[in-house]
Amino acid sequence: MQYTVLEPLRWQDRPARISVEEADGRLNAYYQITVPWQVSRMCLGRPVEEIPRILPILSPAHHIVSAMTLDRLFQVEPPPLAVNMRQALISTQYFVHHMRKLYFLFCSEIDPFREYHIRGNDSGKPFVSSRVLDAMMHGVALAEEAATILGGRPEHPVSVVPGGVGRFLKPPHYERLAEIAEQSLKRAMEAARAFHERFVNGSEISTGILELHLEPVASLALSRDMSHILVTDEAGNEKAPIPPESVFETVGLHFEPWTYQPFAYFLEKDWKGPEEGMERFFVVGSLARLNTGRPYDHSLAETERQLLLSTLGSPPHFSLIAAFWSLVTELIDSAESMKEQFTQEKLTGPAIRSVPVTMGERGFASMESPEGFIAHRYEVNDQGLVQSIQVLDAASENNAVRCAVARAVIEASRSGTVERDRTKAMIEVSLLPF
Amino acid sequence: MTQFEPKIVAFLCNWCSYVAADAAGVARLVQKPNVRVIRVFCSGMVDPGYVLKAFASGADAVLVAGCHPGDCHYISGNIKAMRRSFLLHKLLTDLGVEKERFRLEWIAASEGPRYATVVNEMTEQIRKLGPFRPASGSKPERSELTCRKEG
Amino acid sequence: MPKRRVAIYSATGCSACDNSILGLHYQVGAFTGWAEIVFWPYLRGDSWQVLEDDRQIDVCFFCGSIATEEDRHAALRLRAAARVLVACGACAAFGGLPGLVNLIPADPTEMSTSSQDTWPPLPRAKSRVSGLPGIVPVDYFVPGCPPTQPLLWACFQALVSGGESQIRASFSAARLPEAISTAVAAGVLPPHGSTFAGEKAVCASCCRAKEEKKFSRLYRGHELDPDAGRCLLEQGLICQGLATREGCGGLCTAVGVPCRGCFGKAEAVYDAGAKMVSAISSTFDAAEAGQASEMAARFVDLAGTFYRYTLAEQCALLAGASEERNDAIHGS
Repeated sequence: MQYTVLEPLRWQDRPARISVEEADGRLNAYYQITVPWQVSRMCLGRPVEEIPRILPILSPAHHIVSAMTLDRLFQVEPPPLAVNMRQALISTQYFVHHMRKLYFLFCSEIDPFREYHIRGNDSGKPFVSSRVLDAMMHGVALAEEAATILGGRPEHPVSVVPGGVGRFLKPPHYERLAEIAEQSLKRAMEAARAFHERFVNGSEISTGILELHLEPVASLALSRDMSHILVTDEAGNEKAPIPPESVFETVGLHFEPWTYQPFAYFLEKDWKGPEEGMERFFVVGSLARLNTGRPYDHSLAETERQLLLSTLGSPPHFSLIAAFWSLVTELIDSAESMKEQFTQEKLTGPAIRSVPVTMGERGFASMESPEGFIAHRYEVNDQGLVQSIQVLDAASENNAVRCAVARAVIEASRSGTVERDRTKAMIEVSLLPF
Repeated sequence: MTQFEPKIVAFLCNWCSYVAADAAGVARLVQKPNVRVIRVFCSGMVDPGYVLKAFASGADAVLVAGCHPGDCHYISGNIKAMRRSFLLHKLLTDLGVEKERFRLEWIAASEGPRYATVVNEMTEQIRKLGPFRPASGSKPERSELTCRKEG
Repeated sequence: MPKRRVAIYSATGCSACDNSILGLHYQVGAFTGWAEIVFWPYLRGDSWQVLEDDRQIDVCFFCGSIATEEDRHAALRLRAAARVLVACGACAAFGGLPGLVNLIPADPTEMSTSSQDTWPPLPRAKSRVSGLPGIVPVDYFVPGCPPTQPLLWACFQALVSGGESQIRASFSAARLPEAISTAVAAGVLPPHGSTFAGEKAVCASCCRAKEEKKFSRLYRGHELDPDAGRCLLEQGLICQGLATREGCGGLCTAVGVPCRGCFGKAEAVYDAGAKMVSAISSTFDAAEAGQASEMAARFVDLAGTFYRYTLAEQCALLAGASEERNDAIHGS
């Protein structure tokens, strides 16, 4: 079988490529992750309290959900200060993740490492100036500094432990954090402005490279109070919410021999690949949170969300412009969260951790990571060694959506709406918010 | 067919076990020729790193022999060796080394025959186990753990 | 002076090292004044074509462990194309966390490539994960998971700028071995095989007070809320700082969790596991054998803890298992 291979794909967390197969007028796009990801094998037999130090290899949020899983396993409640510090760390993770994605979007048509940064797009207008790009990455650096203060290290945090966090903050820390929060909000608003200038002019959308519409599909996201998993179908109707603890019985992982990453899908339907329809699949992440979402608590973010809805219409949305705009909205929200959380009042307290006195047999926790819904479940033996581990990282296991996106872009390029040599670039940009 | 001849590295302390080994030789006690002796001043100076290095360099087994507790020339050197042995055994097991391949023994200077016995016993034991191959380092228990193909 | 040609490649790992290098660029001002990034698939989508047209790369930063045939191939190609090859991050330098899978034997059926005609091929996974030095000789190492910005910057300055950078003062020079910091200042290449980190153990940079090296009870990580100012090992937590190379500044111990050795073993250590066995056995305050044996019984998963990041390349017992390493040693 002959395959056209598009590689390497930019900005993917793990090396990936698209193999395209055309036979008898039928087009198949295979999104292949080409490196094995054996987190199960890395964790089996490990002392369970070490898992928060191992799983952040998937993404920083896994550090926190792992500690939450251990809270349940060891039957402890973290004290309020620890809860605040964890929340504060999560806000920085949203900020860094979303800002980076927007940075990738803005420099998708230029080489950010050339000395000249300003380049016109097709219509001759400057895309985004180097000053803005630098400011965005400076924002990332500041948020990473905050993540280091709260988490020990930016990309692979270490400080969140079963029952709490590892250390108290001192005045220089929360003073610096307050400064960072101010700056972060400015940066978020600048990025939002740049996004508007490029893609949203009043009520007109100039999509440019964001032409793609994904085939309508369900959306899945954890509710704000983390009590249930919200699911809306492809038409936007709410389906029965899922209790988080039963997610592993509701969402399954299917393995195909042509990619090292499994496919997350609804178990109530039998497995069929994405080329045969998307009814067993779902999106997660900022777009899903938009589609299942409720209003934001923070004013600037909520204003942005209202603008999105009045411009694009009511949810559900499956366009790239909506996906990126939801990233922008959440970026603002994360910066406003940082402002709210990075205060002396919230970051001081009498206790940072509760030491467990007992150990159960299993633990479960889930949360919305910046990328999307994640869940962990561990079982231990009487020595506290991991006997079985299940990890759902719905965003990275969202292969079906990625295959569908790639196929849609390639079909568009074949029908002549997209220049041929931009196909790979368009696929990369289209995959970015998913 | 040539029989497998184990290579055993023996760290013998200068004051007790080395003397015993010497005495065993002088007394012409029958001993298997598989042991390579390294004389150290005290069993307590055998760093776990030396044991690992011996295995990494091709040894099939390692013996550390010192004075009986209470008789150490340096008072408590042999106690240090003993304290290390528990964790060292565990580490070796984790890395796939069978228990029998590492032994800590107390052999007094007068116990030449005992030295010979230990050497002969160990040689046959290791011969049965076979050569030491640093493989994947799997613990026997681990193969029972379920391991879904996760990609 | 012509710009140095830089390549950055990630094999099997995560994207943290790539993101660290990206952050570096923006933290310290554009180094594109004196460096030209010609091959960075993660950020620019460069294909291997780039190297075929013009083979010479001045410095290649290779991140990620070697877990597939494609990774191995990439290592060989980049070694051939680059004058200087740097193992960037714990995965490349020693195998990293992916190396842990070597403790559990692979299911042979997992390792088979799709040989069917009906789907596109996938690079075959190797039966054993290795770090970069297991495949090719490596010129320099920048350890860490991911490497800290000061050390990455020191590495860039030393190797890429060749002293031409306007920003000469490396802000981690104080903790670098003298040979490297002298080279950085002088604008020459540091001694071959150097690691861009300290030589001593993490204890040298850790902020906690070390009093008497004795502990009487072993605690698992969740069983103790340790005293903030005092050495963690002395409080009964297993901290691997004493076997680990310094350079991070004691990041983990500063936030209340023990070191797990992501910088690899310290210069003077032969094997980190052996060193830890020795240190813990000596430090444990046992009056008699029975207590020592009980303490040892409470220990779990020594190999997975002591070699958390370094199992593939720095475990003395298992290092001999890699056939490629033997080739690399005997062949080079």
